[in-house]
This record gives sequence, structure tokens and C-alpha cells, in this order.
Amino acid sequence: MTDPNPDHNPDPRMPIRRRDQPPTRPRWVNLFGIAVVVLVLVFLVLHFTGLVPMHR
Amino acid sequence: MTMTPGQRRFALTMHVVSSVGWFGAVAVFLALSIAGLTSHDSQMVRAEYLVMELIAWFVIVPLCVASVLTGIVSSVGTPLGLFRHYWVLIKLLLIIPSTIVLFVHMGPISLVSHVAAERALSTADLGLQIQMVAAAGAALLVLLVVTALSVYKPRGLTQYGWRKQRGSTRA
Repeated sequence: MTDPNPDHNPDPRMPIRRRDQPPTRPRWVNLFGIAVVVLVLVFLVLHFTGLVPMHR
Repeated sequence: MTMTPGQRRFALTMHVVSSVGWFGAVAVFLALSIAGLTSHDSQMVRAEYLVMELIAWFVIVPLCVASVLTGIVSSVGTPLGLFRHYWVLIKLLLIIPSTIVLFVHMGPISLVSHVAAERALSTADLGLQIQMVAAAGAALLVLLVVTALSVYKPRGLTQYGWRKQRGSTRA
């Protein structure tokens, strides 16, 4: 049976969002961004301490 | 631009083959670079760096270019698009800089190979040898993440994807 209310939230764990509202950025994207920034910082620290030299 | 199902399957097959090949070639490159760094047999070390340059120019670079091109064709030619889903967008944002870094990194790879062709490597070349291991390890990590994104396809539409989806639903 189809849901008569299109804005009904079938998954109570997910925040309720109306169809005409733009989507929010998923949490995994934010976590991914943080992980990338941390890895880049670790690389820069290794590079500038001379542990990972970079020749061009 | 939408492809037929046959074209989609062909493009996807080419993308998977080139991507898996790229991953495997980088894994071999990493193994050789570790062996080159740790081995005490100077002849073996020289041979490894010569082989690494060949692998880089004739396997890694062509597979990288093929993977990027087939990936773009596969996404643009299907409803997935390049900028509609976060997982596709992040793949693109990881792969384009990685490809640029690979081309920049070809200089040091050729350099260490030319050194190995002329003489045995010494402690003065240790920096280059460490760089080979670090770059190959980082490349393998990026390719592992990209593969995981392709397999899991985590949910999430971008604002652009949402607008496009909304437009196509209304039309």
C-alpha cells in the first residue's frame, strides 16, 4: 500500500525533511572531509620534518 | 547525453578493468619500492628501480588515464552524472589531484631509474627511495578509498543533484 502522505518519514532515525527542502550534506561527507584534512596535515608534518622528502 | 544499456555496460567494463589494473600496478610498484629500500643486493635494487620506471610509464600512467576517462564517460552518460551524488563527486575530487600528482611524480621515478642505470644507489639516494614508498603507499590508500566508494555508493544527493532530480520529476 502506498503512503498517502508523501512527507511521511518511514525511517524514524532519519530527520524529517519535506520534499521541497534542499538536502543537507550527509554526515559521512563531513567525516570524510575531516579525515582528508587530517591526512594532509600529517603528510605536511612528515614532509617538513624531513621524514618524507619530496624531490621534483 | 544518455548512453544505451550496451554502451553503459561497455564503458563500465572498461572502467572497472582499468581501475582494477591501476590498483594492481600500484600495489606491484609499492612492493618493488619497499624491496628497493630494504634489499642489500645492489644488483637487485638497480633492477627493481629500472622495472619500476617501466611499470610507471607503460602500465600505471595508461591505466590511470583510461580509468579517469572511462569513469567520466560512465557517469556523464548515465543518470548518475558527475556532480549529482556525493560519492561520485568525491571520487572525482580524489582522482583528479591524484592523477596530477602521478604526472608530477614521474620525474623522480625517472630520476631514480636513471641513477640505478648508471651506478649502485647510495645513502645519498635514500630520500628518493623513501619518496617512492611514501607516494606508492599514498596512491594505494586513495585507490582503496575510491574503490570502497564505488562499491558502497553511500547515499547523499548534492544540491545540484537534488535540483536536477526535482526538475526531471516535475517535467
